[in-house]
Amino acid sequence: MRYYETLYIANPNYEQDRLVQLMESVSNELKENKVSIINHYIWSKKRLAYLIQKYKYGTFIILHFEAEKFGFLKDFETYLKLDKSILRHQTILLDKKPDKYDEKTEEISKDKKKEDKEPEDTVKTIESSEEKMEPEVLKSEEELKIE
Amino acid sequence: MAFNTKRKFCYFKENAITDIDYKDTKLLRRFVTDQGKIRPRRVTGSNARMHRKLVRAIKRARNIALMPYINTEQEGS
Repeated sequence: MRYYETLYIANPNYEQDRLVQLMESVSNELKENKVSIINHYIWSKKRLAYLIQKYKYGTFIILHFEAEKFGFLKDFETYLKLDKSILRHQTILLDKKPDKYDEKTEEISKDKKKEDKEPEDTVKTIESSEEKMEPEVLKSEEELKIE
Repeated sequence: MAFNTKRKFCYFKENAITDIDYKDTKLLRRFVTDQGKIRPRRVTGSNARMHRKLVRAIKRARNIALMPYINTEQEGS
């Protein structure tokens, strides 16, 4: 059994519905060749390192699949090449079986990273202390006026 | 004469990395010059096996537009 990873860049102007349509059409193409798909998900929208067909950004989609025979790969590659909504694609052979992708675990890991990056507690305490200070100053000014 | 005594070490061996993912551009940028050229093994100090894997990963990342072939955007300009 061989494991493959295909990363392809979709048109950045496509919205969610159209991306799902595109992904379905790609997975249908694979299913015709009796290939089992492990993962198929939108990685993220990224800035490209150089222009491709005059596009600055691209939506990256990852596809993991396993297959016994590899004769279909040539047809699959030509299919990706002929699809106009795909800017670029790349298929590589993996050494190990890829892990199953879970949206929830990915989100949790992202949140954790954000928490690590934002130690804002110290800033908040300083701000709050300033806020407390302001009304006292104002009061003293008012008292001065009255006097 | 003062000699540079900074010890060279293999980054992958120190951090126990055996596989390099071409999608991990944060790691790959470490081994590329500002221009986008691959740093030679004599500079980075990485061992031969890992350097071969590294080169393959960088070339894959370039092909799929995750990394530039040449970086024309100069810093400060």
